Amino acid sequence: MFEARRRSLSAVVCALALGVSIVAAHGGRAAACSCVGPRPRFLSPHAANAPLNSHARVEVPNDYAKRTFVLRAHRGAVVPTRVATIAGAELTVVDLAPTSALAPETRYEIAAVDANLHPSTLVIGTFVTGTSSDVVAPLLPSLGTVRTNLNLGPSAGGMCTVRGPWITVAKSVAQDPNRADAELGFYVWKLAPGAAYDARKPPDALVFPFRDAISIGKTSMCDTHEIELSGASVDLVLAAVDEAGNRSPTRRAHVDLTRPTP
Amino acid sequence: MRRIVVVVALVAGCGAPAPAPVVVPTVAATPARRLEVSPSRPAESESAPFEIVKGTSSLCVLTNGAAHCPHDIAADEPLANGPILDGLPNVRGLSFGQDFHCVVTADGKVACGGGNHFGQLGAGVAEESAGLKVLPTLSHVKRVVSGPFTSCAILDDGKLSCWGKNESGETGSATNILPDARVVVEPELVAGIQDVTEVAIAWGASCAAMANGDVACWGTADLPEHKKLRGAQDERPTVIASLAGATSLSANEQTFCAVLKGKVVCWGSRSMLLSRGGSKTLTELAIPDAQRVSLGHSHGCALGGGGDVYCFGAAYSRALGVPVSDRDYEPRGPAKVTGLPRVEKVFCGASLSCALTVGHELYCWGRLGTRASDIAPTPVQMRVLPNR
Repeated sequence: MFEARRRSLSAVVCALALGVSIVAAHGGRAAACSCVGPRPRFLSPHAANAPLNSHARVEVPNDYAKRTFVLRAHRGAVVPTRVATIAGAELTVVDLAPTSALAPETRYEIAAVDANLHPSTLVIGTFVTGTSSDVVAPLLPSLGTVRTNLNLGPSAGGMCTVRGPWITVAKSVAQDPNRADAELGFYVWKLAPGAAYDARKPPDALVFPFRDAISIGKTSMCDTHEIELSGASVDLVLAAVDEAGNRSPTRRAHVDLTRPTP
Repeated sequence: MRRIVVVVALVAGCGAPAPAPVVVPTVAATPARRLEVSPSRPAESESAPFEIVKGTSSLCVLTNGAAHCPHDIAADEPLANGPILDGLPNVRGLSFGQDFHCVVTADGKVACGGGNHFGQLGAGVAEESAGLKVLPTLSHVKRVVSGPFTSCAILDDGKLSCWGKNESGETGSATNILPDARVVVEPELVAGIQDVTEVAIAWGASCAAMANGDVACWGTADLPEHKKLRGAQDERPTVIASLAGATSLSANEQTFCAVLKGKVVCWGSRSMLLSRGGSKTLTELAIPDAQRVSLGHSHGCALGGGGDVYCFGAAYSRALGVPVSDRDYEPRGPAKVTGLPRVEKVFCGASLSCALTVGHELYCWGRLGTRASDIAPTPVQMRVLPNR
């Protein structure tokens, strides 16, 4: 039990500090890698003036998917929502879209509930609404710089690195024309080269930018946001999406997976 | 922040399991060094004009409504000359967690300051706070007790209200709030318990003693009888039959101890106890006619019936009252601390032990300050109040 608790404490400390702890190699040999397992994460909205039609989005380990996800006013009632999920290899994105406008200037929270657990309720995130809804779609005039990343050197596989490939999309010019502070994410559809895009099909992933770039695929052994990238090439279709679920027109890119982008 | 706190991981003891201690050894130690003594020595029948509170890495003295918490304690410098915690003049009580502290003000409110990763401030704030934040929904507080990242307030009506980290149900709440939502953490009454007299909080579990003698625990089930009733973890308080009548509850991160029918009993992790392996029921420490017990990070001390102090746990804590090597990782069974006048209360901080005598003299041993030379392996008399 002590060991279990110590591991638990250790995991928290790691998550606080780095998210990942790396055990260095001895004598230049192959290195070990230890990762904090997938954890529930609040995706959006974070702003203190979220649109009244905001979707509440969280990302949870797949074994949480059997829980009931609720959007509720803080110290208040559960809000009726439509639930959509995007399931990945280890993580599932849960999107709760309220069926009617949220109350203005009110704190809401998103929680996972399972009456068989104690504690039964896990509050994953919270946000405060502003005073208006957002019905304007974001714009995505350009995808920006699309790069294929491959670790081909002798260090590939060392520490927590993976060979790849993974794709980064940087310097995207996505914007929300009516809200400069909109929290924009990107829906990603992965298609076989030349395959037709079906707008009715749910996306394969929802990713949020970090330092003005998004990553698609597994960037390290500790990255649990896996989207399989195999074969010589892949077609990606992306759309920017705001907190309220408004989507931009899509953009498509053909990506060569056999060599890293210079 | 006024306090920089380092979270120290407990190091498990090594070596083969040892049998439970059956003999109380008296360790040959050098007599307590008697340094400068405050000339105002109260009569034994009077209550002390101060209260000693164990801090995270030191200790504080609460006198005349102000908590004085010196960064380093020195035998020749009165504790009450230390800086006043938070500059507050009307403190009625205080407690320390691993990276935060809370005070009870004269009007029965609670204010907390420091780290807030788990919502341990409980005050509707998302960030940590160097200054104190008043918990707006809490009042009529008699006493506050803090564990590593969780606190509970004993209210004037005997009810208990807790807040902070609740991964295992240790606050008694059915809602666990992740750090992204810590702004909504606030105190909640613990259902099903009343007339609370004491509470002790560990990393993932809490226990409270009640006026009728019952002891209830919640959170991670550390005892088989608890686990049998509630499973591995449950926020609902469960009366633990084997702890009926227990008093002087104390906890560190992993271990609980209490006094039960004149004996010190411990449960949870036994890494700091001499007895390891075997059953996971209560571990009994051989302390004659035990009256009180207090735990530090990796050691503990108990008050025996004759006013003697017995310390146990990790030798590397340097706070057992006997000279030991800091490389000695073997836990030690209870051993009498020699050279102390008759003791009334014991307090254990992180790596510090203190005893308050019936004559209101304070003796401490262990890590007194932050320098390597600040370790007192055997008791040193401390000055509490300035000369009057």
